[in-house]
Amino acid sequence: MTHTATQVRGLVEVVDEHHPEAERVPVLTRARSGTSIMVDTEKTERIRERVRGLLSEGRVEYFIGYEAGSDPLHVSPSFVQQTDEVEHLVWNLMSINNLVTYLKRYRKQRMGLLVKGCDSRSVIELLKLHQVKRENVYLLGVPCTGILDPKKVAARCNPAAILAIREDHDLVFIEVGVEGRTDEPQVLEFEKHDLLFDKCRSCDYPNPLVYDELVGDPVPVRARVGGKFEDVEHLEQSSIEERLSFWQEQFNKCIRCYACKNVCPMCFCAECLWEKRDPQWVTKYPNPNDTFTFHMIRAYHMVGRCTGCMECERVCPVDIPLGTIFKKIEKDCLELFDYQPGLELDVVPPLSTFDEGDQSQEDLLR
Amino acid sequence: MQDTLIHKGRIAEFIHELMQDSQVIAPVSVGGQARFKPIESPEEVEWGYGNTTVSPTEFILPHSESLFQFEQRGTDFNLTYNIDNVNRTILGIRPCDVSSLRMLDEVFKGKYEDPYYLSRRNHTTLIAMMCLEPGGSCFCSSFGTGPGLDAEAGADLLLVDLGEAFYVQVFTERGQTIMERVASMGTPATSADREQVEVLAVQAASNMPRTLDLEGLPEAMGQLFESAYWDKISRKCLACGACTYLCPVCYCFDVFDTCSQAQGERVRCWDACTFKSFALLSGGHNPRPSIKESYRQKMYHKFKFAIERHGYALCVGCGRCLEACPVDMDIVQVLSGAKSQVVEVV
Amino acid sequence: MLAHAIQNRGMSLFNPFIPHIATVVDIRQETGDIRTLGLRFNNRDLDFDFAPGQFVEVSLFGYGEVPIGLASSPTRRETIEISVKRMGMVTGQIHKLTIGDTIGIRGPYGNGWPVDMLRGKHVLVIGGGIGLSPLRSLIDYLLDQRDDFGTIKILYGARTPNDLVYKHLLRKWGEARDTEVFCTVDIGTPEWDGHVGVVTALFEQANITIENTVVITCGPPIMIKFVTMGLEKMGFADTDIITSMEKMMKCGIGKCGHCNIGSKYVCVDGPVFTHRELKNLPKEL
Ligand SMILES: Cc1cc2nc3c(=O)[nH]c(=O)nc-3n(C[C@H](O)[C@H](O)[C@H](O)COP(=O)(O)OP(=O)(O)OC[C@H]3O[C@@H](n4cnc5c(N)ncnc54)[C@H](O)[C@@H]3O)c2cc1C
Ligand code: SF4
Ligand code: SF4
Ligand code: SF4
Ligand code: SF4
Ligand code: SF4
Ligand code: FES
Repeated sequence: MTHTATQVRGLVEVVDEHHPEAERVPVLTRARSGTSIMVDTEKTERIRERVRGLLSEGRVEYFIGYEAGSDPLHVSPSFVQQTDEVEHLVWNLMSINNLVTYLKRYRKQRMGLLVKGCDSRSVIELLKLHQVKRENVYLLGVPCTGILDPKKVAARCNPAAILAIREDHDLVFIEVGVEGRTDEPQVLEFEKHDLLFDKCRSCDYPNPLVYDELVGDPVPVRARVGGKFEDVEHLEQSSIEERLSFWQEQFNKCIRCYACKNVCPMCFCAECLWEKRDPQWVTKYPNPNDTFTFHMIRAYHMVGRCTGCMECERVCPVDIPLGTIFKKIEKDCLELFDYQPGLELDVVPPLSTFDEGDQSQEDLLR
Repeated sequence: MQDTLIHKGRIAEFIHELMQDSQVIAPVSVGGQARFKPIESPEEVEWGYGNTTVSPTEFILPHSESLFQFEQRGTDFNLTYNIDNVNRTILGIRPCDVSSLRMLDEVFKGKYEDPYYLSRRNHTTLIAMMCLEPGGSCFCSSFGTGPGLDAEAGADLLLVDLGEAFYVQVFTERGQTIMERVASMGTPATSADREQVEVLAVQAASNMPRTLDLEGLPEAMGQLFESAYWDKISRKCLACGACTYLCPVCYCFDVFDTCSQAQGERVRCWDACTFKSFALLSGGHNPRPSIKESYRQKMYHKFKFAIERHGYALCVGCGRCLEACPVDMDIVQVLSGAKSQVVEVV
Repeated sequence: MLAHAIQNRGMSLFNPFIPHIATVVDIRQETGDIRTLGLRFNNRDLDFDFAPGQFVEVSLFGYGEVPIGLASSPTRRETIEISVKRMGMVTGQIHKLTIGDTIGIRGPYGNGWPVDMLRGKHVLVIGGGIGLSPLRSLIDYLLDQRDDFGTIKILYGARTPNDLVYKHLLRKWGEARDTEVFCTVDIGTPEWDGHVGVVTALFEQANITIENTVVITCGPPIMIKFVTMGLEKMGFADTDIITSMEKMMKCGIGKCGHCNIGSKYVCVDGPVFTHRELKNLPKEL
């Protein structure tokens, strides 16, 4: 698979005064002014073709996929309603958003949705919880080889100078213009593993678990480097006081913007506890207690629901490692109930059922 | 007023002097991310910061604050309040954020002056830092709110990084007083230094990655209020508060009481017009019932209503709203898109 | 009582967020969910001057603050009165108050009805439900200076006869010189011998004249919509139709942004607007 700069908007032609012979050297303007977007041409074309079909056959009212973002390291959710908008759709190494979150807003409409392996688990969980009707969603599944974390890329090369990103098995090649010039590009080589989102580094389900059709062939599960729950285990080993102070320090940064809650596909209550005015259980006041309570209540509500899509952690503007909380829940859920959310449609979530063999509270606390 | 060069080797001393009579707020690293915090020693200052995720204007209009405390005495209530009058110095505030304060001033002055805000504002010295390398989402030059800074912007001093030394430009009497106190730490700037500063300013402005052409925007928006464009644009918005809470010019706040037993306090805290309960009346009527209306309000309040009311847009081009947005909503694209809608129609 | 003036770096600041403490001296249950409170400021020296149509922010400490229109007229200053409909948290608490309880009052805020413009004119007052409360302030004001104004016609509608507020006043007003009161309910009861129907249905009966008449109206948005439509059809100029707008409010003093509509802040630029002004605002009512 190759990622090439098929569409480099924002290229300006300038004449280099010092090298008149090298007339009209295209210089990539700074990333954000024009968008240069690297797309996986093959998959993008397949997606566009299928969406065109779905819309013209009237099978969906909307299709939600990805479109070019504000710079080469971002994509943005794209709502396609008409066939002439299909050209906006792209698929590339940056296609991170879990689009399933939009299902809660369009429950009653027939939606088409692009899902990666991880995203498809959110759909399964929503179906189990009767939040969407299967016949209302058409799932275009993409087998996923991992998505790059823009923060990790930006830490290694100037995003403004990126010309193209190519992938070859476990390597990622990033072509950067030297001092903004494209005539002498420099190719930087990275282990793909180093640039991936953490969740992709330990992904067990790269292939969608529920879908109507797949775009591309299923891919093998990536060999895992290190344990999935490393950060959780690390914290578990520290004392209660240390853990408390770790989280207090983290939550002190929280500005209570609710991006984490709103991006979460599993946070679907019509009226969230945090917005309720009468009675007003909790305020927007970010005092340490309220913030702590906010995060803990959300965590408890996610037991057996959270599929570990890590969107909350990704969107937190002040870098609170929210994913660690949800991994802890996942780990406990796995150890206590041998249950992982979002895998099979007919397995009942552990907290929605009771049977006589269940361990008592005392057993659990022991 | 004489401009000065302070060699970087003596900047710690300079900060020490500032700390003598004020709490110094400067960018420090909080878990790898730069954020303005009160510092205890000059070594904490993180000089290599870009613009911080959270604006230092949070020290003037904090996320939340107590308006008063109340205590019940029989059937009567006793109210007490505190107006913050701690002397503060914000060191390293960027030009865009300095400019945002001037916009906030207009809101918090007026017929009813807000003592909480104004007292903090009056007690805060602003030592700005010129931007030499604008960040990837900056567009301050579109508003003239950066990357350099002129005397009207409201900073007391402006620092310019000249490599070996900071060039210090004095804008106000308060700034002048500081420079007199630290006179021994610096040397008078030469006209060559001044020229270098000007060159840097021009360079920085030409490096500005993005621009928003405001020409004709309010007029275009005037025609576009009912347009389906806003429905389309806002579909991806998650109605969170990230773009608002990080915006140095957004000032909306909520007011509520916290209480235990017979005492408590009235608190105000940031609110966001993108939240769905922002305009919701008791009884359930919501004049802005969906994300289309709330996101549109955000754009219109900033780029049309504010221009009609104050004569300027409520934006300084800091790019934070884009940086923070979970769905990469790009305000420059949204507004240029709005303009081109009208052009298309014509 | 606090001195709200603060000396601050040479500036003298007044703290507009601090309420005055007032005591409930009278309670009248108007309907099942509306009650009128008579209030007296604990600080007897406080000069609380206001205009009809202005509102106050009422504090129930520990619960919050709500904007409530002043129901009494500034011409009667022994107590101030407010009428409150039970809606949510704070108004719910207001309905639990008993005589002698204390609350907080900030204000008065907003522009109020344009009383000077009404001098020498006929006034048509149209109210719906709790919307009669800020109109009552105006009506008492007009009647207390009866000679300054032309005829006064009051059209008032509520959902049922039990939802009519100020029943004793409606009768009294009708007895005043050159003053007529017409009431209607959406749903009648066997005992109700008055008009049944929406308030616009009273237009004909009230024999409304357009000339030299100004209309002052307050009520639920849907009523306002049909009333203004009807009036415009009859030929009223949009500058002669005046209404009070309800928007989410938090501060009442133009800071918190909640009441923003277009370039206006309803709390300081309103709540009273002419229909012309409203037409020029975004359609977010
Ligand atoms: C200018 C003006 C005058 C008013 N005059 C009266 C009156 O005379 N009598 C009367 O009964 N009601 C009046 N209201 C409506 C009254 O303010 C609301 O019913 C009340 O705020 C509901 O508050 P709550 O705490 O009971 O409800 P909640 O739903 O718990 O409201 C919480 C908060 O939201 C705000 N809020 C909610 N609804 C409204 C609203 N409709 N208008 C403004 N803010 C709101 C308030 O700040 C309130 O504290 C007036 C509103 C305005 C804007
Ligand atoms: S996204 Fe981050 S800052 Fe915002 S509410 Fe969630 S944890 Fe707090
Ligand atoms: S809690 Fe976080 S990781 Fe879990 S489903 Fe929600 S957004 Fe995804
Ligand atoms: S940050 Fe983005 S998603 Fe959140 S409210 Fe703003 S525009 Fe919408
Ligand atoms: S609207 Fe966006 S770019 Fe403008 S000042 Fe606010 S955060 Fe910065
Ligand atoms: S954009 Fe929204 S939150 Fe920001 S100041 Fe305007 S109304 Fe308030
Ligand atoms: S109520 Fe706060 S600005 Fe109007």
